[in-house]
Amino acid sequence: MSANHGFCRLRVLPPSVLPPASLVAGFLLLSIVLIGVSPVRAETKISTETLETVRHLAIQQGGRVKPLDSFARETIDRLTGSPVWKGQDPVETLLSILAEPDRWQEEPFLSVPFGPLREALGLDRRTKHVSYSELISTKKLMRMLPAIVEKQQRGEKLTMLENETMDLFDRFVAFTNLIKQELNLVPPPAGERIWLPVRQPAGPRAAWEGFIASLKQSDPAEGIGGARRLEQALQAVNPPAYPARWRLDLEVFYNRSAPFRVARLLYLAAAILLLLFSLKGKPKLASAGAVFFVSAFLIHAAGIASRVILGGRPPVSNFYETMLWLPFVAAVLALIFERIYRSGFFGFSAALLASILLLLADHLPLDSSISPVVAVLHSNLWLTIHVLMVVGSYAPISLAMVLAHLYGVFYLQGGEGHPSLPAVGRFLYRAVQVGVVMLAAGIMLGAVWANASWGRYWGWDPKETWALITLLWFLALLHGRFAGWLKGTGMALGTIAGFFLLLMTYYGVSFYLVGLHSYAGGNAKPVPPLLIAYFAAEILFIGTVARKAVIGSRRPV
Amino acid sequence: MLRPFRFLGSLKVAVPTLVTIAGVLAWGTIYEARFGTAAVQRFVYGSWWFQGILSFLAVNLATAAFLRYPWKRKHIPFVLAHIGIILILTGGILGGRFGVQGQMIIPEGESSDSLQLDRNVLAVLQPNPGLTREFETRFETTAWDHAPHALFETDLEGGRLQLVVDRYFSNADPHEEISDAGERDNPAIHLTLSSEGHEDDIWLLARDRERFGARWGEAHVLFLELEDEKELKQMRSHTHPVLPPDSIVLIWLRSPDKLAVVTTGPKAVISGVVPVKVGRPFVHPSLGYRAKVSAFYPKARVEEFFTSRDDEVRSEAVRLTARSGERTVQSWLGLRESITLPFGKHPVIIEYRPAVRPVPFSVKLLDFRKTDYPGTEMAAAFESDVELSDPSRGVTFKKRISMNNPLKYRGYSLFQSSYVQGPKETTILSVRNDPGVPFVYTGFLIVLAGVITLFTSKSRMT
Repeated sequence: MSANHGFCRLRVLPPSVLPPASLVAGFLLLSIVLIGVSPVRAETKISTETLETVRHLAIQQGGRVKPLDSFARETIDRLTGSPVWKGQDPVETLLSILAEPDRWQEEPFLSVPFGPLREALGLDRRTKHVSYSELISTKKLMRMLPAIVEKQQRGEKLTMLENETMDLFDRFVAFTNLIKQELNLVPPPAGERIWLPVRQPAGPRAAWEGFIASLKQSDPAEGIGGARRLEQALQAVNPPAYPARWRLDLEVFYNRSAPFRVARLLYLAAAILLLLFSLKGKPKLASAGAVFFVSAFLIHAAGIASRVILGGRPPVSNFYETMLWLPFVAAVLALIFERIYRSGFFGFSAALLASILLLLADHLPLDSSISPVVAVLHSNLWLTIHVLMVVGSYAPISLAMVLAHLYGVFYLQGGEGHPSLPAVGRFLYRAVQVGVVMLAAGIMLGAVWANASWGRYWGWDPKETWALITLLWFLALLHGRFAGWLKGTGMALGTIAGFFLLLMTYYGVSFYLVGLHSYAGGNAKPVPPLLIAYFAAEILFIGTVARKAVIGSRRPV
Repeated sequence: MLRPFRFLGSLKVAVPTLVTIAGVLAWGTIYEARFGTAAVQRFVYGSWWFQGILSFLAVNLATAAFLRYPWKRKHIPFVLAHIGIILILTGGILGGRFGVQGQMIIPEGESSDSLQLDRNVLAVLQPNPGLTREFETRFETTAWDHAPHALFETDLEGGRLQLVVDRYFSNADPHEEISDAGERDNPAIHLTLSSEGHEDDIWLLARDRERFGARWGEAHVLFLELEDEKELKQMRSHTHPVLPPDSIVLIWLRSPDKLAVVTTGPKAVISGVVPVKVGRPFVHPSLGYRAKVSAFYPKARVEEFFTSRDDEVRSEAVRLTARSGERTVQSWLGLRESITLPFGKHPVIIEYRPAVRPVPFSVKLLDFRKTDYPGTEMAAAFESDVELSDPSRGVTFKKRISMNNPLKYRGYSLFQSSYVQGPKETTILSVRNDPGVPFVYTGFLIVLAGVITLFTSKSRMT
């Protein structure tokens, strides 16, 4: 039965061409019929061995074959907004949902992070989660959808509220699929690419149902047996199509070891040690710092390498991965510079930068899954080089920014006479030079790629325009320094200011400038408080240093 | 005598110019977010004053390089970088002036020998004696201006034609008004359909091939026009089904003038003919849908008009008034629509459409393919098999165009840009002929060489 806007022209008669609104309504009806209502049961306990076996099962989802461990993390993250629900192993949460769908429908589990949407749905304004059954019983979500889908089909941009509504609907559908046990666990027959749902009649359905039944038993041995039988049955369907054991192992290991979290702690330790070394000059501190730095770097590199191997794609294909690549390049540059200058300042700056960026990467709402890339980015050498180069160029500029802060702090401490100033000033200049060269090369590579791919090398697109603005600013700084109009302090302040431009290129254009355009109607994305605090602190810092410089001397700063 | 040149080629000029350009660009991106891409391209990036600043930078760089002539070894990086940038700027200006950029939109099995450009025109065609006039509109660059009052005039066979565009909506929302005020027979019926709390109103036009029927929920709703009772009987007496299953068919009998409704069940068997009256509801026997004829106009007039959604350039429409002598006609025209005006003995067609530019060859789309990532709707790659033929040179060949694998011919490059899905797939190729590219690329290489020499030579930092 069709919902609100129930007709299309007679010329498109096949019943498969139903308007999306009817799909939505159908979905809703179907899910209500399938689920029914039954009494709430006690929580299942699942043994560690069972979890280990299940974790390594392969599943195809989002265009990729991955271990169930990744699927569980991504799904729980998508549904709840956090990869871990109430401190529980995501795989255990997943199995629990599969075994006891009725109980989980009552749990306030689906994330509704956007306040106005909670209001529109008539939910409690304080809680950020809603239960599946409440979402169904309010009926408000389903009433909001048809108008949004219609708008989407007309190709119009959606408002924040509408986007968030669609996101919630996606979560609703994902949860529906879970409780209907729609999991593509069965490898495809030879020559096919699409994995099959585990509940389809021809597949190892009995093993699956046996496993789910065993989860409800209190005896852990039952669960292990059920899981092993399921694993064997799935592999036996088409052994050549099943992914190699080492791939599944590697991905589970990657998920579990959280290499970037380890790396960022080691980087932080290295930063502290190297700073102490630069100030006190004790060689022991330097070697200890170097050990931490290098081990952090190796783990960092191994993490990136795992993602490349598992995803079969270049190291930078989404925003999360730029946050891994930038500090990686910074660390490489620091290693090179430290070989030349042996000062500790570069090592300190890179380690501090890396620990902050890796922390942000984990705590900003970024998609960290290893999902496939869009068609344009697929197997494209020029683009890969361009992206690696541009994001890489942000590394020396960010290094210069950290060094500029060091310069400012030393200057505030000891004025022009501070012993470390000339060295830091020289390193800063070097870092900006490298950054300018890399950024220019990256922009030119981008032009070559754009010309090869779109037939135009330059189109004044906001992203490329802002990259050019950043480049022009730092070129102006270098020339000003060269002409002698700027001294070390001016260069440092100019670099800190230039970093604002870099942030605009890197982050702002995608989120605000395009956002202004796409959310026309005054619904631009709010600036995170963290960013506002950062801006305020930097402006204060620039002001303080500049004040001292202007009062302290009449010469150029 | 050299002094003014010294100043022109100095850092005192260069650095402020760099900062000015950066400032203009930053403002340009904000301007774009506010007023749209077409506007910023016209009023900032493509404007004479911005091109002027860029040219001034080129002059500054060239002067700086020549002032140091004869060049010494230490000048190499500096001279190379500057010459490279001058070449890039030159290439950009050449490309902007003499380059061609457009799209070829080709459905499978068809061919095209012209480009669609990214600006719109009002085209006036007089098929007899075969006159064509095109007027560039550029309304999209001032999308906020809803009342442009643009006047276009042209002499045609049989007199002078004046076109005035007094409304422009960049994101126009189409509406229609159906009234009883038509001059000719045009039976229209207004139906209210309802079921389980959902209600919809639809208009059906018996003589419109695209609008005599609609699908509502499970039902096919039709409006037919029959001459007399005999035709109705014929329709009922057919042994094979003539109507679709689960249908509600409204029939207007011309003589005697009356309305009736015929319904069919799931097997398309006609269940009965019942007379209906405006305002009185009836129910489909098997589906349970309620229907009511809320209006019936034998001579309906259908008027299309638009309202503005917002100022994004999305689906454009203009309202124009055509005047020739004493006659005046006013009409709305959406992009890619046309109207025919009676113009004495020689009717005139007015189109609002993207400008078109012929190319010296034709391209036929043999096959279009899109491959998805397994189990998703996300495209992993798409490609077009095309056949290019150039009759003037007697050349014909086949080629596969895919992302990053363009077809190059006679200075034109054809890129896979996008596609339209549907029963018949349509490829969208972006086409570019840019004589500035060699300059720009040479510039890139020279800048690169300059940077390499900078790093191999000693630093000159003070």
